[in-house]
Amino acid sequence: MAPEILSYDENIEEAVKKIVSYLRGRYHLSKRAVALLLLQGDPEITCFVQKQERNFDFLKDIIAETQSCYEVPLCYHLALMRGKWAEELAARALISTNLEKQQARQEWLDRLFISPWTGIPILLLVLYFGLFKFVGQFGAGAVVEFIEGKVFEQFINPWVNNLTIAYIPWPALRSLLAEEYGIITLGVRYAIALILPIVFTFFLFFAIIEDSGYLPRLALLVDRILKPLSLNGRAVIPLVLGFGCDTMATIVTRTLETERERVISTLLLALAIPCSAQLGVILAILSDYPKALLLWAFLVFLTFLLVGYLAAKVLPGEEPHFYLELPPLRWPQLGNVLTKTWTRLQWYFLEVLPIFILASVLIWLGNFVGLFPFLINSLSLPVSWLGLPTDAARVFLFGFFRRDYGAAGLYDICQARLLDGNQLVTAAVTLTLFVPCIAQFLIMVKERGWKTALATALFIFPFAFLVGFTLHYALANLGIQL
Amino acid sequence: MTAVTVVLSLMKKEVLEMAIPLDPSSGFFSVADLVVGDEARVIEINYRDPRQLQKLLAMGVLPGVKITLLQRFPAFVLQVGRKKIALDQNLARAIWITKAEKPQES
Repeated sequence: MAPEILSYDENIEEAVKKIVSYLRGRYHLSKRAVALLLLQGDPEITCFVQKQERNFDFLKDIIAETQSCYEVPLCYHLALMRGKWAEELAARALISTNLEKQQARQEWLDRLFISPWTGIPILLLVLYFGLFKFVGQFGAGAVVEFIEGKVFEQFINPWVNNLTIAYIPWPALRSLLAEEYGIITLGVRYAIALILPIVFTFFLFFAIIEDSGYLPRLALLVDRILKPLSLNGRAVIPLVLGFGCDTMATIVTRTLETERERVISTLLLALAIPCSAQLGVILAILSDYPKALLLWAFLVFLTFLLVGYLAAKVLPGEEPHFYLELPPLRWPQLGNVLTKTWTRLQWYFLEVLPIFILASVLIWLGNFVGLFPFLINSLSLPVSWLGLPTDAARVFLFGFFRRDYGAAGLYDICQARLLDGNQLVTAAVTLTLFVPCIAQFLIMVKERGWKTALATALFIFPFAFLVGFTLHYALANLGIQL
Repeated sequence: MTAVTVVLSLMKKEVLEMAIPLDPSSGFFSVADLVVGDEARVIEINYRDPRQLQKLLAMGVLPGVKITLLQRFPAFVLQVGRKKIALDQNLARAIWITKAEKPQES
């Protein structure tokens, strides 16, 4: 039986006939569909048709003429007709049964999730167990230690190094592929040993909260906090992802509706969201100074809100809308969770792995031309302003090129008992706010363009040091010793 | 009371710029005026703002549809037919409703 085709009223059908007669180009949709989309003002199709048809002006006239027959926008009028037709069809074809008991149980659970009094504690629990414990301690901790410590450090890296010494006579090429900054020993190792476990565990966690239907409810709860930052609840996805890996999160900002939201969230990711590599080390070095840890968390959060608010004021554009469908809650299904995780992993390999390889090539280049000693020297002065020993300059430099090493370098200095509590918290805050790792910078360039990425970096550099300096000064002058 | 509510909501800038003329005596409210648990029927949506219109259409909020307000804070949560949706206050204000008469089932 052939499917019914919805026919609209006379004016619309006339217009569709006329438009179809003018369409000469090739379309993946039926010409009727194209005509209807044009009438409804679909921006993509309009753009597409404009490129293909020489008679586009006639089409515009037809559309304008049709619109003049109605008081309401055409897309609204057509949507109303479709809505009525859909209702009639549904009434003919669907039987509704009342699953009262099941629904009542679901309602109760749902209410727990979305009411602010119970929802927010639940949210914090989910973030604690999901992000901190599972992604942070298990993924970024145990799994990374295994893959990096055992597989790479003990097997792959030495093997690659030996191979290159045996077969490649030119030291420059050797250092490109292996040794300290090689594509394989650094770039690939970074992507597979350091970031992949974090990203994999995060994707698993994410797929679970997505498949269970909890994710939109999470977005609902945080929408109000994000509103003053000109973001809406949907931005919670890249922001939460940033605690796993900022590079991935910057890619995910694509899902936000307006460019303004994308720029603001990219800025906040680069500035105030520490990735799990950093988080792990910062938590380790500040664990002996719980007050310093609280101060660090408080300052970073404050910066997040303040800079977000200011960015929203400065950047022109429309306020975002928040609208989301809340799917029914259900047990996440294993097959779905695995499929979603796998799909995202594939995407990670295709998009992020090349960036890491590019980053390691750039680092190799930098090392080759003697850029690093120069940069360390120029960073020494600002670092001393923070009340830190000049050794710490190395930490900041490597913080950019190898973010985890930056924080780990701080850990080394801390182990050598060279820093006190005040210095540690200053360093930790500055390092967290500091420019993200080079891979993230490259992604920013790719997603937001050179100008925005550079503007962001040029803002973040001095700002991070400014905050660090203010903190150092305040702690010293207030006579606080942490 | 109704007139005051309507006049107050008319004074909000967005509504002023994009409002469909409302007749105070006909008792039009927006979703933002509902109390949790209220049932209502959609009379009209603010079709003057294309961005808002697009979103409301995408979620199936059309005149004639029956809705129930489930929550107001931190976001508006509505039962629209068989679906549950979440909206912010701006979108909630763009949906005009009349309160359904209780305890009638329609």
